[in-house]
Amino acid sequence: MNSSEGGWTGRAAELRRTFDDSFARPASAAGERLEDFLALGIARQAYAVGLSDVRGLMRIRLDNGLAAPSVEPHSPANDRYLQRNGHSQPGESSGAAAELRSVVRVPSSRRELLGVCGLRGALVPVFDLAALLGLETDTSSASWCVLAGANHLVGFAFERLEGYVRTQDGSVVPAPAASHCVTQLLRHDGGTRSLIALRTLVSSLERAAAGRPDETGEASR
Amino acid sequence: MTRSWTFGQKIGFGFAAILALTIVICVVTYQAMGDVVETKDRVIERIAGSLVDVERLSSGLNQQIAAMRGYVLSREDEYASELREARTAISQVLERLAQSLTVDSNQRLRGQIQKLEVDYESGVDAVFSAARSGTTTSELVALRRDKVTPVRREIDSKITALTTGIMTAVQKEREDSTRMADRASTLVLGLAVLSALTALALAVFLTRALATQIGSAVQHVQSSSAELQTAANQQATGAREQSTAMAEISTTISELLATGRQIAESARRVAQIAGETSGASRDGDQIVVRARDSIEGIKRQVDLITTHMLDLGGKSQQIGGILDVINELSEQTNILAINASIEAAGAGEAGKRFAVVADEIRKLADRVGGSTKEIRRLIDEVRAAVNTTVMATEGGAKAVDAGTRQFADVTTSFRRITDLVVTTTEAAREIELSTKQQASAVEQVSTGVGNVAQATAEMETSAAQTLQTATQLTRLSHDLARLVRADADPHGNW
Repeated sequence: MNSSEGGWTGRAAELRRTFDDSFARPASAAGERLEDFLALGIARQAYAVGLSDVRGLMRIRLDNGLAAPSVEPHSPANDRYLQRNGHSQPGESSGAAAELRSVVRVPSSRRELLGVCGLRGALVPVFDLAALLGLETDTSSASWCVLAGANHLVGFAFERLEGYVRTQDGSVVPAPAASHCVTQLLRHDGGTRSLIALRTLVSSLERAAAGRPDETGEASR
Repeated sequence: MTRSWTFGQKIGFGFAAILALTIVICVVTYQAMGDVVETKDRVIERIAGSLVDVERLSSGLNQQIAAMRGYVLSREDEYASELREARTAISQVLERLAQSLTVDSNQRLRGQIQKLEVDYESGVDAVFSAARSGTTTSELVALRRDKVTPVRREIDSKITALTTGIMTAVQKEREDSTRMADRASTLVLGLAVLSALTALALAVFLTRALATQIGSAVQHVQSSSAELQTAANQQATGAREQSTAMAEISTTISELLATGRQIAESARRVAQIAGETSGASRDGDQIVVRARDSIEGIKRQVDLITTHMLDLGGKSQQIGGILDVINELSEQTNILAINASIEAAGAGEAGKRFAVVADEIRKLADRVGGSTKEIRRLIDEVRAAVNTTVMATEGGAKAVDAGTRQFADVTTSFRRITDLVVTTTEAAREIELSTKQQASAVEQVSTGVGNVAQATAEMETSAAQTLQTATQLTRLSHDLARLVRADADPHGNW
């Protein structure tokens, strides 16, 4: 017990030191180019999105009018991944589930559209990112949502947020088997993640909405 | 049936049979002699009466002649009276003869005499009438010669014939009487012969029956005496063996007496040790009671520990809830930091400094989240340890309960042991007392065995006397066999 107390005392000192070091650490070098990504977990596969493509991140819950959405606990493999990368483990708690943003299902001929979500007085359409990537997964397991889009915000729901990744230049390489929305790979900490081009997805959705204004146009309104 | 009769009954039966035959012979003889005597007397009496009556008849006839002659000579009426008396006597004689004569020829002669008597009376009456009328004597003689004398001669001849007939009848009856006496003599002789034969048969029968039964009894006596002799020999042998066994028993009883005394001493020591054990078991009972009280105190303490551990589990669960709040706050902080980084990135150069702050906030949130996760792990370990401790404590409580029950059983067992030790003490004392009594009894038995040994010696002497008596009895049975059967051998065998 004493050693644990000593360990926790050392942990507090370490936290204090790390916190103080953040103020003492100099700014990045002028030639150093850093890129930030969000690591996503979709259908048990590792994906990433560029932070520059993202306009926001939020927790959601799918409201089908029947039951509250379930929040899938993290798998031990993901836990190990986050621990190895020093990232936090969001989504563990279910105590704030009542404060999550609700995605209300709406009738649509597109199965990728999960529903709409109210955000700062506007309705944002939320699509299932796994469905857009052509992955077979349970739509009810989506509990995170990234916002993208230039003119109109579009939400992309996914299962897990696996962390915040900051890499140096050169970590993004072309994907050997590119698709229309995944053309690059993110190398990070000995592994690779498929880098999802959210802008491409938004553009295709906007084009599809332009071809069929009765869906995306209504949703945008 | 006769086999069941005794000798006295059989002999009595023989003498009774002979006596009955003798009585029958006497009765028959007496009856035959009576008949003969009666027949003789009757013959004599009748013959004598008949002969006397015949003589009286002649006499009456003569009296009539005498009365007639008297009247003729004296003319007195007195002779008439004599005449009537004579006639009355003749009439009575004829009536007696009519009853006494048994032969028909004699009866016919009596009838002829009675008719001639009437003629004779008529002739006499005629003489009387003539005399009374004064007839002369010569005329009266002539009249008598004509009227009375022929009738008288004829009557006399009839009386002579009647006398001859009576004598003939007497001879005949005498011969009948003689034959009757001969028959009686023959009957008596036959009965005497029969009696003699019966007596002879009974004698032979009784002799054989008595010889057979007495012989059988003598044989039984012989066999019994032989068996008695054998038994006496065996008894003598057994008495000697019994005497030897009595000596061994006496020795064994002496050893048993010594062993009994040793057992009494051991039982006394056992009673003493049992008493000490009883005291020790009572002390153990008190110790067990105190141990049971201690275990009950332990049980209460274990229950209290269980309660505290459950409270501890509840507190750790509450800490887990607080950690959830902290984790939620760190997550929300992380989300806000990411969104701040996004906004800072969108702000271009102006947002870089803000991006640094947002990045530090995000890192801080990560560290908080990592610490929260570690605290959660520790809390989970604490809760698991609490649960394990509670389970172990409950197991300990159950073990304490089982121990309490077992101590109750131990207490019961100690009390039972105490009771059993008391019982053992009493039993040991009873064994001691019983062993002493047994020793006393063994001494009495030893004395009794000595008496039995003496009685055995006396019995041995008695067996010798019995053997001698059996030998004498065998000899006597041989003598008796020879007395009963002449054809028995000198050893009395048939």
